[in-house]
Amino acid sequence: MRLKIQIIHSMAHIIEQIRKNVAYQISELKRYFPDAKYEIQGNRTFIWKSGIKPSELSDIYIIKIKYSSSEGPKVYVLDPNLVIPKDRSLIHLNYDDTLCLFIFGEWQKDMSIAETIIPWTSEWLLYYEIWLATGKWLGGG
Amino acid sequence: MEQRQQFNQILRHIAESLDIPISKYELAKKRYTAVGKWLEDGYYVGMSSIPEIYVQGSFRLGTVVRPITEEDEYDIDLVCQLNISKQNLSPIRLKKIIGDRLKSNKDYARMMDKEGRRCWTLNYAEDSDGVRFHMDILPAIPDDDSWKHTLISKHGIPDQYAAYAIAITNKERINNSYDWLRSNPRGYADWFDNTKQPVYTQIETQEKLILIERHGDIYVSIEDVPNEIIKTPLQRVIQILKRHRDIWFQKNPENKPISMIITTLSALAYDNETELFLALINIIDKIEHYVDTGLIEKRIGQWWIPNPVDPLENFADKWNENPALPSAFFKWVEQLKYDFNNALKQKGLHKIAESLSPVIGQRSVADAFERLGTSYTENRKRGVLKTAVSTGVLSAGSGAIKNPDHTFHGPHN
Repeated sequence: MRLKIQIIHSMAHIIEQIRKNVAYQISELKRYFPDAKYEIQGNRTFIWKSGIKPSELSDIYIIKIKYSSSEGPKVYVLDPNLVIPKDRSLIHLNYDDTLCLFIFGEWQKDMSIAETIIPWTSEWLLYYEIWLATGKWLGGG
Repeated sequence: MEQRQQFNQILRHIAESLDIPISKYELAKKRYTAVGKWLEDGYYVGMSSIPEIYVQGSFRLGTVVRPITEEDEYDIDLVCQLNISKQNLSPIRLKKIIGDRLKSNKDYARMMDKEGRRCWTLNYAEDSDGVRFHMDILPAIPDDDSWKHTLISKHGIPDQYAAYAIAITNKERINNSYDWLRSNPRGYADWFDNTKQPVYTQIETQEKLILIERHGDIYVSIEDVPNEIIKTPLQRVIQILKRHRDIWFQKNPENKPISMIITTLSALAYDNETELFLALINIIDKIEHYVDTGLIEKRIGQWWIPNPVDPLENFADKWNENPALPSAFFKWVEQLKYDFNNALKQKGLHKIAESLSPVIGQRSVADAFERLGTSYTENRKRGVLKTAVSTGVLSAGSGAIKNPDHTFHGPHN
């Protein structure tokens, strides 16, 4: 009986942590990107959508970030359609069309997406445009 | 406003990719210095002082444009001025003694082209980058004091420019006779320098520091950096216009406007703009509206673009012999206006690159955007790359979010 209660308390604690984490990410995002659209799904997932322009002369890209506490942030470019080379490593694009923005360890759950993923997304878009112009990926990696 | 700032940055990168590489420039300098020394050391009968050797043209003005292809060459113009008067020397004799001095060096003798109308030409062998130089050496003497006096008193040319007036030799095609022609490359260069001086003074130190950072293997201190490689927006505009011209007239080079016209009109139109894009647009605009600006004159039906330091010299004289030339010129100016305004309208750096590639050259544009990309990465590594709120616009310095360093990766499933 006591073990059952302990387990229920632990799970409740974990769920609370996840909810707090999601709440934290969203509040940070709202701070920096007040005009973005948010959709919260359950306790542990949300979707963020906004237009991002990496430079004054760049195009505006509609970005979707799907965040789940189990899988972390996944970034999609909804519009315009990306030009995708056969060798996806040229533009650091995953097979599920999410952007590869960091190597393992560079992003952790306690980091604010607003201060990491989004700036890195903007960089990705800039380097993508320059890749289209030059055939080279100049962002390192 | 900020879009124009970024376009400025792009134009600057483009102009830099039109530059002669620094190592190549230093090689050119070495070569013309060596030729100069050889000429200085010569014995010329009747001369009591050593010749004055100086560079003219784009190397002197700081408007050299890299050749588009390896088949094209860099052009170095060297004046060899003997200090003797017209009374004591005939043009044929002047031409010959300089030619003889060059030929007495066995290397130069081997490199020498057949005699030109006004100069002797040395052809240098291809360098490791596949690009050649050729050097035109112009024999010259100071022009008559009476002519200089006329320039000053009758035509209002400042003393300092008139003082440099020279006579060069010209071999007539028809009967191979030689006569004197008037010229004043040093006076022109001084006039050009004075035009850009205010902005040059503003940017000199900062630009030299940038060059030291980039070329630490060649330049160690500010004193090492030669003044003539610091480019004001005026010089950058001239470079861009010359390259645009080279590409636009690739199919009919016989109609292309001479660099003297482009350089002179740009310098006259330049209004000390520090922003490259503004300078470019304003200069093109003033040339287009030449009737109002007076940059190009029509005198009794004759086209005139007078040399600012010799008002009797008409840079547009060939326009009056061949109406295809002015027609081609004004069509080109229209094209300039269209091309640069069109580029600015594009959304996306890749679209801007696409619109500029055919007019500036694919390699130069790619090179420029590569350096643009690298500059963002350098800023990120230095910790100064920032992201603006709401828009996500990246810049060095302004923006609430500092981009942490990271590594692009993938793909993975």
